[in-house]
Amino acid sequence: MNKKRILIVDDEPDVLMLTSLRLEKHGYEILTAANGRDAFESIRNEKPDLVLLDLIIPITYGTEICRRVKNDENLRHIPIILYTAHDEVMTDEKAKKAGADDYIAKPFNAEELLNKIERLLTTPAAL
Amino acid sequence: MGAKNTSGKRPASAVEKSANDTSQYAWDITERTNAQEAVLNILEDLQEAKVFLETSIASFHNIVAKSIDGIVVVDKTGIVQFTNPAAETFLEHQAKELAGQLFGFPLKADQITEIDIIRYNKEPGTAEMRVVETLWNDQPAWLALLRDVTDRKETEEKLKEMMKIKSEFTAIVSHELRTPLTSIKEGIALVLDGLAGDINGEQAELLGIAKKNVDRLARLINDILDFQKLDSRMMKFNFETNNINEIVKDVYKTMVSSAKKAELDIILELDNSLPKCSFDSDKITQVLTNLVVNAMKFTKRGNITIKTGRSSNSIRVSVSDTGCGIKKGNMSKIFNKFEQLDCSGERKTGGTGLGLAISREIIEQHNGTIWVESKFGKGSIFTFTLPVCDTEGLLKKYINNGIKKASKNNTKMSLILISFADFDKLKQEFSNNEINSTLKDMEAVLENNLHRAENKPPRAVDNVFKLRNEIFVVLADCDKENALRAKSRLEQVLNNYLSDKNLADKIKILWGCAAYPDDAAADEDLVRKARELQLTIPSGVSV
Repeated sequence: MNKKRILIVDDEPDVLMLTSLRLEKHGYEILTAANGRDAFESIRNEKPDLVLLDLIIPITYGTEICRRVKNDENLRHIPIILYTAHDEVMTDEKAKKAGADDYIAKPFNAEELLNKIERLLTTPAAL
Repeated sequence: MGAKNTSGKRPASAVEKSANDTSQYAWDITERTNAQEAVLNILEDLQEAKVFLETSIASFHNIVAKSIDGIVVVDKTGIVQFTNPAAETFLEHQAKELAGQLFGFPLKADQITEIDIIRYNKEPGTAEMRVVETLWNDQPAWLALLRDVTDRKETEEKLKEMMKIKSEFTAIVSHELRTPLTSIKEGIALVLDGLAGDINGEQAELLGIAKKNVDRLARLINDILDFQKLDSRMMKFNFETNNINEIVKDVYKTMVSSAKKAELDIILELDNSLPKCSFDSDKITQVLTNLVVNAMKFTKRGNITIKTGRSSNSIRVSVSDTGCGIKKGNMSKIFNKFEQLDCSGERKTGGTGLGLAISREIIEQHNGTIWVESKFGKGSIFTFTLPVCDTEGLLKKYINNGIKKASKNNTKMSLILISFADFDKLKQEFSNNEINSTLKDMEAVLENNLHRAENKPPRAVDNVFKLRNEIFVVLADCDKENALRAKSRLEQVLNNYLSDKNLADKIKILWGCAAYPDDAAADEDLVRKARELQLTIPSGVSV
């Protein structure tokens, strides 16, 4: 069976490395990006099965990337989980506005993150 | 000389004689002298009045001239009629230059406008202009008052700036502290979960300690930021009408397994007749969880009881435990920030010390109260209240508002009353909860169908109220004929609902409709009349 491919976008190298390790051990194939521009290119070219997207990243913020992806006919089916260390309430609103499929706060609980990913990968994308 | 002539009229035949005339007649000049005196008196009065008037005018003129607020009179065509010295300064023109010119600023009565001015120190600034209607030389005119608010606006700007900095600081702090914490937490978790190879017992234990403290640090950051938001009123609450018992049941579900592990029982004593009230479910859940967690922390064996009940205008929730209680001396401190105690009364570490402080903020911002009763060695009871939705008061207010508007605009308003026929028989067959739940459904169905015409949204002024075991429909700006039309439409909708639920043969609905002013003039009478008419309008009859 094909491994599901997940793109992780985070400008903190440590967080990127540890999260990648966690998801790899769980059986996912991992792609990474450290800024908004690389993230969007990767989404467009690689069409991952899911994107884990940090909000505060260089070049273009995560919310803007999310909006662009959801406005793109060919890309909007890709589920996006926003994750950030930012203030919870503000992020929740931003996440909804940007059209993200889910949201998780840092520092996150690995089990919770894995559950959310699993759920979004098994449910067919909302129309 | 003689008494004053009071008859007033001069004899037509009176003639004056010259001084050389030594005839024997001495003409009575009393009248003339009196008249002269009267005229002199009048002249004196006039002189006094003139002086008084001039002094008055000078006094008032002084007030206007010395006023530091600008005063401008503008006629109804917009031409300046008068300006005081302050206005001259503000508008940077002399009175004689301004007189006869167009004022140029928008003039609307009882409105406050901000205009740019030149201040006394010759610097540019802002003034608040208030305009009222007045008379000038007996003609309607505008009186514009200009007040220099430049300093006040500067302070307002500074305050806004500080609030912005504070909230940015909060955001930055939360981000900067949480980011490294993420790596620490996940790094430890990966090793603990065996994903970097097997670990021995000692390694697991040490990492376990690290993990526990990372989690504690994360909670501390959350609590501090929570408290910061609450304290500066920046926390957004999501108020929704809800039943508190649902919240209690949810918290019970979350806490019951850890309670069992600690060999503690959680007992629920819930009042099922509680009305709904308006609160933020997440935040109240947070408060209740905090109280239960505290209870578990301080109770070695026994029970934790969560009770809900009603007291006059509020809903009461209490969490009581059979734990070690609180020393009298600590009672007043317990809701303070960073206050932590343990059973020996000594300062304890392990929590954040902010739980109760946050809970108190949340409850108080819900307009409720929270307090504790305790006996050292016996246990504690933490109670909080939430204000109840006063449906009866709200209904009365809506009916009265409708009546007021109708009487003001010379229109009508109507009230439809819906009750169960043979209610006592119904109570025997159905439980309180079933009846309540049916009524709530009926209320929802009626609300959804309250629009007046097809495809038009319902008017905000019409409302449905479920009160005890009846439903009131308030139709503002609606005469009886239209109300009866609405009634037959709603009746159809309700009958469909009942037959869908297979309740049509068990539940009979009574409909009553009363209008203001035709049927009654006051809210209570309107309700009473609607109830009387319930027995006369047979169900199913449309107008």
